[in-house]
Amino acid sequence: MDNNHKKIVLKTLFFAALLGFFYLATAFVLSRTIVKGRRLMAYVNPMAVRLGGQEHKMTREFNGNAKYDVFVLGSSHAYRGYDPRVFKSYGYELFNAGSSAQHPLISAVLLSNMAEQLEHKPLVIIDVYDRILEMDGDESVGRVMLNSADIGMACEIFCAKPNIVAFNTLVGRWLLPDDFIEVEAKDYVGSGYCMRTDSLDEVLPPLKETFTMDDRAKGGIVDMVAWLKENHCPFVFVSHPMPPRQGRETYHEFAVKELESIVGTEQLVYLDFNNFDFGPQWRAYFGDAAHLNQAGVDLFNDMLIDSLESRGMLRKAPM
Amino acid sequence: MLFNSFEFLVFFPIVTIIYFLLPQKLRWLHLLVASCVFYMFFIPYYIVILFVTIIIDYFAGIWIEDSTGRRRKLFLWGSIVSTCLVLFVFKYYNFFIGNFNDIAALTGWNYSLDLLGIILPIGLSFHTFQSLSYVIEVYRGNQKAERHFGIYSLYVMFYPQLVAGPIERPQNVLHQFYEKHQLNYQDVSAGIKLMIWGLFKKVVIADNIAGIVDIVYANPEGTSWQWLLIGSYLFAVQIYCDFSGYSDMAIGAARVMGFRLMENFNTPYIANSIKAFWSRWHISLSTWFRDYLYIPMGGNRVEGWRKHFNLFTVFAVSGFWHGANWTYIVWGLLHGFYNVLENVLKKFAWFKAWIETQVPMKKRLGAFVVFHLVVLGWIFFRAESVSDAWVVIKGIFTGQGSSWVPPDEIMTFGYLSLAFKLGLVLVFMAVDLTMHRFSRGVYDHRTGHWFRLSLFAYLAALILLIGYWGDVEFIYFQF
Repeated sequence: MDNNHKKIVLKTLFFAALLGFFYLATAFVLSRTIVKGRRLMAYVNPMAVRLGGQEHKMTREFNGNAKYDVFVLGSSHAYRGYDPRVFKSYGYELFNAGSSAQHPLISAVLLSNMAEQLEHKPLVIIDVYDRILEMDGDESVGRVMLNSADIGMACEIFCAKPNIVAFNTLVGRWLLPDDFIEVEAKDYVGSGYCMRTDSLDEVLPPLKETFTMDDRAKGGIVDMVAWLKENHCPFVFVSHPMPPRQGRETYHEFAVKELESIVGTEQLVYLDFNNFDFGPQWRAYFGDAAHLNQAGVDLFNDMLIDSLESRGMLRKAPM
Repeated sequence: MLFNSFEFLVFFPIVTIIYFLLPQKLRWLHLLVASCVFYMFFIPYYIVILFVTIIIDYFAGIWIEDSTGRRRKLFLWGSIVSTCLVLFVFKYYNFFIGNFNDIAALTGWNYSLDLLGIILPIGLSFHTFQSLSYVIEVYRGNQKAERHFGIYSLYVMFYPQLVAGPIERPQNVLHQFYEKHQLNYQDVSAGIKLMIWGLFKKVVIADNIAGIVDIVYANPEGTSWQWLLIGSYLFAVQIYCDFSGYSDMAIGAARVMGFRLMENFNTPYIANSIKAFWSRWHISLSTWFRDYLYIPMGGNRVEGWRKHFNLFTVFAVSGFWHGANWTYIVWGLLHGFYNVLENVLKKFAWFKAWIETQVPMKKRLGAFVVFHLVVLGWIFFRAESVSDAWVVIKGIFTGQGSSWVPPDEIMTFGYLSLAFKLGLVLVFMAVDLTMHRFSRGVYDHRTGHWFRLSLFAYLAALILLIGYWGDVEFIYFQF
């Protein structure tokens, strides 16, 4: 190595050290400076996600020593669609580990971290919302990572989808001030569930007629199924009801076909309520274009429990 | 592959290290393979289209050199037509058919032709022009035909400038692929600094304000004149940072490996005449049009209306080169008009004295006027349609819905976030408008070594922390 090469190597190392120092120092200031109830980071980083909300409460409320009969994974449709109180009324304990725009990649990490801790393996419900299967999962990564109770799980999520946004979020999570949140989860009920009571009053535009499954979503589903089989954990895919709109059936059909091709039709237990008809008063059962409100959840959960019981899939954890 | 992606952060050092580890005779092959990988990150099979044009122009170059008289001209035109045909099919076919169908519908002629369901190959206009520049220079005898197919392919495909330029000339680049570049501290340092500065412009400035511009231009009828104006100013900054940022990264990435690419931007918004603006903005394209269209049409050798017509034509074609949309054509025509007007006014002594003045205050005033003329042009460039552009212009000049309160969508993250973004733009513009001084200080070692290293390390940290790292392509990729 001649002097020129030595100079390049030394200066590169020195530059890297300076970069690391400046990065951490700036990240520290941006994470620890609170302006009007939010971290400075939330104002200056265009991809910063909110600290607090449902994910913050859910990850802290989960108890690895508890005995859950049902464990739910999925997006906001999951944490707004499966009510632990309804399941409790049938005698089942449910924990809802849904999170905003939860991507199958993140579902797989949550499964292997949270469900892993449970001695009694519950029935795992994987909620299928078609749109999520097309997304890249960045929002989901950020939300769960920043709000996770456990930095170890945040690191695992980073490894599942390593990129610069995720790295910033991981560092942000590490530098967070103690016991600080930016937003409350006002509609949080408990066990991961959030309730909404408003009704749908908007006009719904037609759904698009194409569907492109994200490759990483496929990978996430494959990982989940592998983990569930390895741990002898019963599981079921469920699609919650969606409001009627032009293209609903066609769009959903694409997603179902993809799911069948990934899991295989023989192994797939799939309860599909996507096209369920609530009758002429259907708007009274939805909070918005994609989420059920409490009236809808009550009805949907009753039907789901009936269906699961009739299949012998629901079982109570031994006391 | 995008320069502003995690993949490129891995790709670039690996390709560069392997480049210097390999013996000279294998380096071209390594760069060619790396360039193919880089290109195939977009739509892999489109590389076939690229190779079709490469094969055509490779043989055309050799045949032009080996022949004389009419055959020579025939090969040149054969090459130009076939290379442009690829561009026409992918970029302009739907535009012409769409317009034909519109006219047919307007005239009540119940006939329409099908549009092609194809996606424009990324950077097609750039490598088409680079290929054309090669065959024309061979025809003119300024460049020997390249006999090494791999080296010629690399000339068209060299990954730093493959998808958005600078549009190089064969005399400047081809010989560099034969030269043995040593790993050199000066090149590595200057190249990395340029890349950091370019990336800063792209992900910290351009992409951070893109959201505001998008919101304003998505609903021009419902936006106040103040925000139409702010949105238009911001687009001027966005497109500059986006495109010059890409160019800086391209030039910097090549420089690290010892290659010198031509400068593409030179603080264009300080230009105090339209002519000066075009000598500072997208220099590689402006000089391309000057050398291969304007001068062959007569250039400055003709006078009067003919010269004006030539100028007008060149800018109209330049607009059309940017995109198959009337908005780009109007943008080109508007700049053609500016240039003609400037030429006419130059006949008046007071105007000539004004634009050639060395008085700082007068120069700044001139730059202020030119900047606003350019912003007026950018409105057409950015708008979805000519009628949308007209809505923006009308809105600004008629004081539409006067209100300084930003549109609701802009306020998603609140006033502080907006203030930060606008503040960032102002600081950046202040730095950029004095860039000639800034760059002297930073690049030519007048400042301390520690200062320079620390400044770029801090810029890199800011890029990581406050840059927009979503999947945002460069604006000029679509051309």
